[in-house]
Amino acid sequence: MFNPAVDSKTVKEVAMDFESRTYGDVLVIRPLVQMIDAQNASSFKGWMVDYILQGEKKVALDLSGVDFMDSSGLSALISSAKTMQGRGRLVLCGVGTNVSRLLSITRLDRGVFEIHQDEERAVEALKGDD
Amino acid sequence: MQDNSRQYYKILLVDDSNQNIRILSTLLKKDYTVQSALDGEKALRIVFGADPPDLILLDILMPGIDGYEVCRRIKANPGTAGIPIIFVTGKSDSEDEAYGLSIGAVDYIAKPYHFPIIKARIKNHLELLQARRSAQAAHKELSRELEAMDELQRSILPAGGYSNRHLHVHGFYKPSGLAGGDYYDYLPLENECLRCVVADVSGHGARAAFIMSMVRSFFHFEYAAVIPLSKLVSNLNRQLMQTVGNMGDFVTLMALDIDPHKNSLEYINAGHCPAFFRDSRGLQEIEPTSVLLGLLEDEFPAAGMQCTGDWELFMYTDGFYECLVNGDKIFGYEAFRQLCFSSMSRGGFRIKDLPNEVAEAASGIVGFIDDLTGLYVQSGSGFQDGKGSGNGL
Repeated sequence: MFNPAVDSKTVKEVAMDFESRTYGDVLVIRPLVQMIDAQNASSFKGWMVDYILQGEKKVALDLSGVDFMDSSGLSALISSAKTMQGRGRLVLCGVGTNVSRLLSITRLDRGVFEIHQDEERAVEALKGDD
Repeated sequence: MQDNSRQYYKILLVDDSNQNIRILSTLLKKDYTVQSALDGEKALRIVFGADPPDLILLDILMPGIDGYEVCRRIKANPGTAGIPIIFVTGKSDSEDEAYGLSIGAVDYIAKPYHFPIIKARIKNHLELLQARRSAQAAHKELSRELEAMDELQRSILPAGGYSNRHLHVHGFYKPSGLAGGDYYDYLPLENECLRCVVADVSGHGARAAFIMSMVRSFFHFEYAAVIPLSKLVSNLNRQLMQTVGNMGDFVTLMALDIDPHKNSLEYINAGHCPAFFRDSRGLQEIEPTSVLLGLLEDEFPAAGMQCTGDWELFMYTDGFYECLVNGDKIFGYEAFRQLCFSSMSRGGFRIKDLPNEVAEAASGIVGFIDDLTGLYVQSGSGFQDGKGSGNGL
């Protein structure tokens, strides 16, 4: 059944919760949402930029709980990466099938974002910076 | 709030005691326009009449319709539900107060009267009312602006289809309700060649709409038709980087030049979802050839494809497959690809049926959260030359 009326004309902004862990000087951030989209992208971007501007230089973004990301979410991710430029290193890990497909279609998996299979490997790569 | 601005507000006093009405009226009439009612029926006539109040001071215990019922009826009507109601009553235990607030009153003042408190609370609630009205007016104005932008966007997309002797093109655009950043177009080139484009700007709203019109201007400026695709897309990428690239905005795009005489395509897929193509060799996806636009200084070389026999091509935006099924699952690219391949292989592909076909294949309630944009091109012979012939799709 097709229900085009299911969507409202306004996008409600929803705050996003994160879980963070540190391994030495490496910060691992895990968004506690299944979708990063127009509703929570600005909250996501706000959190990420705050972490980076607070001086976190080695950040792994764990997307293992995120099943879906739309263009607003991707835009927030790109903004985060741009904020990190010249400050430190942002890597992705735990990227699921849908998000992986998005990064592949947009070709951001080819040298733009550094992607690791899981948190352990991401932390290992960031620790190796020293 | 300045005293002279208060006269604008009308306060309705509802109390079965003439004396109470007199006291409150004397207290308030210097600052406000005061209306009064000695019972619930009259109060409702005033509220639902031509000159409703801005705020109501309402007694609870009255003969006939009591204050609670008056409050319930006012709150049940969308036209009057926003009027703040303050109960002023001798019923003073906390349960009464909680009940009064639960049915929609904004405040509860217990008798006996403390005039400074009554005046202060009325002032506070009128200020809140004014703030709410300002926010509603701003929201309405913003919605009007977005609707105007939405309309403008539709007007710059091509209307209907296009045909020449060798090619038949049909576009599809179904906006999600927000001004968005989807774009499709076709531009006839020399010698019956055709340039087609489908693009998607990140995000929604005024920002995406502005970027979308920027993309369109690149395809429509005077010499665009003679500029090779790769140069046009490189220029567009540079411009996007200079203007909006720092904010994280981006554009994905699939653009192609079709030469029906050579039966060949030259295309660039810059980070856009794969197009679906079928010729006599079978079905295939036309995968991205480069990164999305607005992020990196890069080259955007065009790829070439020699077609075999008659062919059909479908370019689209991700709104078709990034739709929600039963509110929480995404339909997904792979399911959408299978659906389109199946329709194309049956020879029965029709863009306008796609949203319903997605809904059928999803076996659930499908909510499209993004704009749906598509461009379908068919090659062959015997198409009628001229615009506006695409109704059959």
